[in-house]
Amino acid sequence: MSIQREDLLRSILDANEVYASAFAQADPALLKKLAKGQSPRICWLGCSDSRVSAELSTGVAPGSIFVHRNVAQCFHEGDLSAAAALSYAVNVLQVEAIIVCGHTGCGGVKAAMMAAQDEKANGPATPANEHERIVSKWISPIKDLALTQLEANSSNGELRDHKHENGCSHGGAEYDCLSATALGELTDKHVAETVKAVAESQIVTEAWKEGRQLSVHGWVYHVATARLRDLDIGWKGVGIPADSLSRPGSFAGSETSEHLVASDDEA
Amino acid sequence: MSRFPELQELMSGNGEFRNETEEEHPGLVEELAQGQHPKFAYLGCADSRVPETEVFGAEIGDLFVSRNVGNQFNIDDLSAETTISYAIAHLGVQHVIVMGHYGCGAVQAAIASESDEASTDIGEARIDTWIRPIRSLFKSSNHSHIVAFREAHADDETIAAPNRTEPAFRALVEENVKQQVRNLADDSSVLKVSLSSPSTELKRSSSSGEEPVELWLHGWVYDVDTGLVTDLGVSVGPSGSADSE
Repeated sequence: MSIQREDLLRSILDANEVYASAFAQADPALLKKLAKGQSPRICWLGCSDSRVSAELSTGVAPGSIFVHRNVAQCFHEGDLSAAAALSYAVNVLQVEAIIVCGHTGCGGVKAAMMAAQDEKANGPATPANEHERIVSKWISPIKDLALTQLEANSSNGELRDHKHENGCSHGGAEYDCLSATALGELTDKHVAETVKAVAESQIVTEAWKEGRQLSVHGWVYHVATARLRDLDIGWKGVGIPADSLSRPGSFAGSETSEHLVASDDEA
Repeated sequence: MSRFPELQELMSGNGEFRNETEEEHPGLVEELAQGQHPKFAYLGCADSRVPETEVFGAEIGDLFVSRNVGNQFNIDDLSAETTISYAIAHLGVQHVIVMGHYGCGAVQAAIASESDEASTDIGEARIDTWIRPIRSLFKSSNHSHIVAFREAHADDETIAAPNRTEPAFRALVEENVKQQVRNLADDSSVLKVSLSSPSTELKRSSSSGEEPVELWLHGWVYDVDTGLVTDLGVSVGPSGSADSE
């Protein structure tokens, strides 16, 4: 390893020493308590994206949030990793809230939209390499959501957006499926579907049957503003909506007063 | 949110985070909004006591993260595979850090006897299946502490969950990390990078330009008692070269 790379790693370990001593000084009681075990009240299902840290974006102390992260914060049927994490959180740790947190500028969401755009135009694609195979398999359910979104917007003959270079043409309609608005809509929809899947999971429904206090929520982190938004589509029981927080419910409502992220932002 | 003021607190905490970030790192959020360029991929435990970015004194934008129960990387797990593959092939990260931690509940459960509920409760079954590789590691490891523990409990009908200070527990936490580094070294995305030459289709360039970047894998452990991170010294680099320290 080059000296440069060693320095890079060394700097992390040095910064960790600062963290450790600051922690021991600022809150030795908490450090000691946490060493014995964790008792977080919240479980967070978030994206692997480097810009969205559950702990940093909410300012919580260590020990507060049990965090499971994967590309585009998915809760796929048959995904043992997420199922084990959810089960551990709900049954072993007995968390009281599950937050599914998506974010704007998500590479997984964008890849899903592009795959849907491609599939609509050319039919199902064959992955060009192993990496593409892995990612396309993982985001396949989001691609299906995107297809639905494209269908809903292509039957409308209105010209929706003037960014022709990113336009998806199907017939006469020009829907800019890669615009911040379109991707924002898919992001929100994907979070909502994931919240639904978590709320309908055996793990959560069993907990509700036992009378446990447990709610599931859907949030979105806006990378342009570092702001968290509650989508207000949560559940606290079978068919019982969770209380909402005082935040705008729509993507459009959150972005209009802020700098809109360029549509080709890469995740 | 009267029943759960904590969630409202998260939202207030978010407001503080936005202000602090703008104060301490002006322009960082705007810059990151254009795209992320993390140098590191991190595979860690979902445990609430190990907030990786803070533990490393890092900032948003530094680590592309996969977190699951027991910080595992298994060949049949699409979840971690996707994160790592995306980090390597798409984001061009230079390092993958696997980090476990003492007192890990998954490792603890792997040592303790399987519960009876695993056969009847679907949630328990999920966890049990998920930690099976760690359980196998516990049964097969040649680490002296682990061997000693197995022998000491050979005639016990059931093994209770060990205390975090138990040497075999600490050893298994470390062996688990080392195993994940080995699993990663065998992963197709990783192999492709270490075996690739400039002529292959998988060309990774540094964020500054064209020169291809190396990929290194590391195994670290976090001590919940001290907050300190230790490098286990099992780093693996290009063409399987080990980093001797």
